[in-house]
Amino acid sequence: MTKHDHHLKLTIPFSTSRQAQIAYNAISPDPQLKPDQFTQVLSVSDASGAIDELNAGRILVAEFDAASDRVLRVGVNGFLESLGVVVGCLRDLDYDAS
Amino acid sequence: MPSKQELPILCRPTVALGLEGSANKLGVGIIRHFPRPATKTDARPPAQILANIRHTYITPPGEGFLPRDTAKHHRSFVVELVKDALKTSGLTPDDIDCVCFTQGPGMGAPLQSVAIAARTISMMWDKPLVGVNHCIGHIEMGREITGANNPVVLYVSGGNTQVIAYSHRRYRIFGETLDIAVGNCLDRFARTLQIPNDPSPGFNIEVLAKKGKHYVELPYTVKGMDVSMSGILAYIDGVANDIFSGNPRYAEDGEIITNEDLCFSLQETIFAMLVEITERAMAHVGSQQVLIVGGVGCNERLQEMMGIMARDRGGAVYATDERFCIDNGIMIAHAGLLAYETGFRTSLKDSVCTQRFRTDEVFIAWRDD
Repeated sequence: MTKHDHHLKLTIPFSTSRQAQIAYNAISPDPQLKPDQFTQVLSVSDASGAIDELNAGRILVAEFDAASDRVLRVGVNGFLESLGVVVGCLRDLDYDAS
Repeated sequence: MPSKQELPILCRPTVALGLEGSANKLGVGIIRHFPRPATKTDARPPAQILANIRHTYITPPGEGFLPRDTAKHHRSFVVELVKDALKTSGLTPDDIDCVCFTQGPGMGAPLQSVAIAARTISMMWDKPLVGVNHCIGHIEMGREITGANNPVVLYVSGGNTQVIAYSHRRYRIFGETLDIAVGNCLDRFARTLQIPNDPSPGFNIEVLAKKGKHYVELPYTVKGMDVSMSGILAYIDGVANDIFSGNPRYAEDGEIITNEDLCFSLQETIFAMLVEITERAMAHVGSQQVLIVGGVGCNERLQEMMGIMARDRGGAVYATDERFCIDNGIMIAHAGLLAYETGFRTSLKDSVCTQRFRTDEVFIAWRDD
């Protein structure tokens, strides 16, 4: 359901579904500052691989909906900044016991 | 022989990683706690500081730090600081028991940027997350470092000014600022005088104040248990701007009033106010100990004035050095680990930061007095 005229969908591939899930869990708890002007819906691609076997569970999907192009740009930039923190941690601090 | 992770928490040493970023200081700390001794009368061994690394976002003279730029600074340095902290401590992620972070109070965007790092690290390493109140971090680190057991606490920083006393599992606020924090008053006056922000505006005001000779009379605004700072700032800004626009002022001895004199006068006035409300709280509570925490607690003149009052009452003042009184990650690791040891955990959905987080909202489960 879209309330506004300005949309964007980003698909961000990770190396593993574990990493995509971590990114989702790290970013999704925070509410939006102006929910009437900008919404952000995150999801992780289908892990069973029924639709896309190669990328099963590895894609973080972010769908944005904004009242104007300026609000969209500001909101998406905010998301990308947060994503950058997650990616930086995954790249330099990850400790995969398995 | 049970492995390290299987023993109940209080019977083995515990280690916490702490991340702090509520203002312009980004801090990462790693601390180790030792088990309580078998007999209740023996003191618990002191905590061991394994790493305490900080990087400060410093703005040019005359400028304060804005949330968006501060958050960008924290995002840029958080991974590097965590790596450095691990290296300094010689530990691996496996050795860490929990990941602690400042949940509030503070500035929204900076808090959130650090919280995202904490959540990510917590999930990568599969360690519990612990949200910490920034003020509690200062208080508990002050108690740990100084050994002051149950003092009246004066918490003074750029963002907070509170007089606190412990009672029945809460740190209760006895008095506070009605408008701006004392550090904020100092920082903003530093901007008026275009004093450099390196290493901090408050430190540079202190240096100038030591050379001040003449006291300029300023408003003195104590209101019962509380203080108000905004009127003093407005007044002294007015005096400074008047002097800058070509109307010099003179002391009684005919000497011209300098920036050093203004800094001296501002410190003397606001510190005297803080001493007054602290003394009032001590009288109410019947305590002889004062613990000063927060960035403004580094100020030697404030420590000196508080010490005079405390000694007059037969007590003493306690303070820490800049490693601990300025915002840092080790205090977050310490307070977080105290909470973790009582079973406290923060779920992801509860890990949202909050700009307002009262000191007395936290249940102090780790104290039984």
